[in-house]
Amino acid sequence: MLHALTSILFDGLAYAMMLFVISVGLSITMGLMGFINLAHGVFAMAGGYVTVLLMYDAGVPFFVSLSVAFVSVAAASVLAERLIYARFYDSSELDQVLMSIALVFMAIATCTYLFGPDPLPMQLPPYLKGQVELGFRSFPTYRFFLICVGFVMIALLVLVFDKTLIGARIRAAVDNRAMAQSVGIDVRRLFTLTFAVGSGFAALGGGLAIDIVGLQPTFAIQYLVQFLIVVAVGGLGSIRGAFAAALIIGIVENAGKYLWPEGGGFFIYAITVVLLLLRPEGLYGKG
Amino acid sequence: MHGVDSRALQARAYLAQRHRWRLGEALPWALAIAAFFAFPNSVFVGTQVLILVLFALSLDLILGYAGIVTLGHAAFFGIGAYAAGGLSAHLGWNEPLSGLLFAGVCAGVIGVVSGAILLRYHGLALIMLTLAMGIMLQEAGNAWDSFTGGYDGLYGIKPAPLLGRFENDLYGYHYYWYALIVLLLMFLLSRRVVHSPFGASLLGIRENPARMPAIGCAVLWRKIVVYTLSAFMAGLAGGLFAQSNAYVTLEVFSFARSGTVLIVLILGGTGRLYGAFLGGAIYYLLEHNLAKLSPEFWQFGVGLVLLGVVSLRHNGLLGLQEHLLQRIRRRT
Amino acid sequence: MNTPLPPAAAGAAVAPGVVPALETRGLRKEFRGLLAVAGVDLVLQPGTRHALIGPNGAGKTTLVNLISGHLKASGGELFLYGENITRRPEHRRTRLGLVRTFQINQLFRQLTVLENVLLAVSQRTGASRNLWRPLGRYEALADEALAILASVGLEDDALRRVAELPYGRQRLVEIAVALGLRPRVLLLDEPTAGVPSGESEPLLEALRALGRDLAILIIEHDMEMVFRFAERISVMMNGSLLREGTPAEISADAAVREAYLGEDDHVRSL
Repeated sequence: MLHALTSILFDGLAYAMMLFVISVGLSITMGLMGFINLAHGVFAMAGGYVTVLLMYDAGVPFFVSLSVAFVSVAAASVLAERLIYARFYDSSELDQVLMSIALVFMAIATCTYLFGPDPLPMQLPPYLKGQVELGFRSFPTYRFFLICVGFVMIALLVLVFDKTLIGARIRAAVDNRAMAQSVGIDVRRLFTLTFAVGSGFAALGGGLAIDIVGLQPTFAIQYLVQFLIVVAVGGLGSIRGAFAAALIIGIVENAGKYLWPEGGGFFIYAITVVLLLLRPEGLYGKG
Repeated sequence: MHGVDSRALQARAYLAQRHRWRLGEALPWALAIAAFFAFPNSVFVGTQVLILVLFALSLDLILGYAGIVTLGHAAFFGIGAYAAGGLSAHLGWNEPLSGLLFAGVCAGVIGVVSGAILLRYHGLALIMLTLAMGIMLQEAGNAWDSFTGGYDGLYGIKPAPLLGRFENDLYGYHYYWYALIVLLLMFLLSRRVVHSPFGASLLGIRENPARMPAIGCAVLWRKIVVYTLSAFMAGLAGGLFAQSNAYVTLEVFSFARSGTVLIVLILGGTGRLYGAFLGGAIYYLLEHNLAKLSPEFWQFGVGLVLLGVVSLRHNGLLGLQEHLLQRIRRRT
Repeated sequence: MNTPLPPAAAGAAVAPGVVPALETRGLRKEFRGLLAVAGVDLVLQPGTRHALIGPNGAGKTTLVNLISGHLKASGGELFLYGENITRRPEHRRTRLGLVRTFQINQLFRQLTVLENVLLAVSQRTGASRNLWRPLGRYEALADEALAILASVGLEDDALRRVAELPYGRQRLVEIAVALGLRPRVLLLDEPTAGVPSGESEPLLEALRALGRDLAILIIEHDMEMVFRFAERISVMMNGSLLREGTPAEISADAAVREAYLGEDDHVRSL
């Protein structure tokens, strides 16, 4: 009983960290520009593919592959933002939804064409495989690694947001874009920067996620709903919110899988509906 | 005095011509009838096109006219499909017309209940709520697979002959006319509602929802009414789907289906009723022929075309046509 | 107790025995600790032309939003011709004859001018509840909408889309829509805001032409217009009413001059 409970919590936390790393960028950029970007999952997926390809075709070590994934996807996202996204900043919600769905379709089709529809296998480096002893029982090493990465990221983000000038600028612009602009903050450049970093994090998360959920071309849309839930339930532009929501999703998802395999998926959506009905702006969103 | 009178006539004429039947409106129906005789081997495909058009038409009422953005409209399609299918497969009630009506009513009831709750929300919250509800239904259907048959599907749907005489044979001839008549009736109903003062208030809600209460309009009940009508029609589409295919899977609730009907309507053009016809026909026929050749190219193509349509900001093919006609008129 | 409306005499103080058209008692609005409107007592007499002036951020538009029901009040009460409407939602207040216009045009831009006014008229008469009869058959409504447009000089633009009109004429549409609701009390939020000075005459004419069965509260920054148009002026600052009186009283008031009007030439000359 206790074993099952700790497994659920542990796996849930690891899953939550993965969701958080991928989704936090989406939360910040949506909070900053109010832009509904359904294509965020594409950046995560791209990160996954870059990581796997570097590891298999070029024998690049895991961590280096992840770093390259971060940088390359961040750079590519800047291109996408300048060429495509920027034209839709003043468009209606519906147009933004449609435009980002279009990108998702094109991305999935491209990946299917290049890599085939089947999941790509992933071999973790040996030091991340196996189990690790944590007090009273052992846990899968990789998940423990994910949890650690998650905490490091949270600490890093909180540090940047609360203690640095750029973090303050981002917070100001999320809170009141017009005001921030009139105080001299270049919101457009700020947005491009956060979009790039957010997409980079998504790529990182995608690379990290392969061992947990597998990598195939439908990744971008399969998990999209969960990324959106993290952002909507957490509240746009809030790191705390993204983490809280990711935690809820992660634990409920794993609990569902353990306790009720055929219908467990239902609960994430039920909880999402309840939370959004009660607080449509999200747990930590602007009221 | 004289000048004002002529302007009054002008104003009245302008309003009156909105609901008058135009010659071009006969075109889609003529084409539908002609297609039956021109392609006798593809009649079943034609029936599926009509079903998709009906589904897209139902979405146009809420999206095109009232401006309600939803990513979960397949929920009503699925409810209709399982209502009609379950009635036949589980309860043995095989009369198709009453089964179809039952499908519509079930979907309509869920529409009014969910609408009363969800339509108080806007923006991202509404999009997420409708999305989540659609998926919830799919998951619930998966859990209740004794009824739905899970992802294997619901078998045993045996619709009895329509009106006691016209059965759903291998060629599907009768069901083509069945679907066409249902579509016609729902289209006539939609056209009436859209041209009524109620329909005009929907446009107001779409164009400036904040202004409507300031002119004395209670917005919520109007949204619920059009949402319920839309759900009813989507339920009919689902019911027709179940009856014509004699088979239903959980895919009827999927996000893919909600996304597809949205794309179909955007492609054809929103807020014009006929956009559903144009988009539905083009999309289904292209998919049916191209997706077989290469699913990846098809998917990429859909994405590309969608991006193009949205970038042009002319509201789909019908909007583009109007824009071009206006430019031609300005030249002459 | 509804006594017949007396003709409003310029500069009249509260007339005894007459139910005010609009009365607020202690109307308050708090935003997360910030008191935007701090207990306002405002009385509008029937048929009056009452101006509300004050510096930016004084809370004037917030007050109008509270009165119209666009915002929910944190406290206080509101009476329309003696009826307590504090708990009524925005759309019900409009139906009772309390109508407002917006500082920035809130029109249905893709619809024609006629259709904009028609929306208001069909809403008022209840025609907009009809799901079956085509709008084109409601000839009386179309005639009424056109008559309203004629009364503000917009009859030539009736079939043009609002988005195509110059801003000054759009402002007129804003007023026409309000008139379509047959208001008993009309709240005008800076009707000349954003209108180039060359285009504001038709607007002023339209306001002048409004009947005396209508009580009007107008927020304005254009002091010349205020002193030409208003019979009573209320001055608002930091969420409270500073002073109220006739134009002469207000322009002579030392506190008002110091706080807001400044020592302008044309004000001094009044």
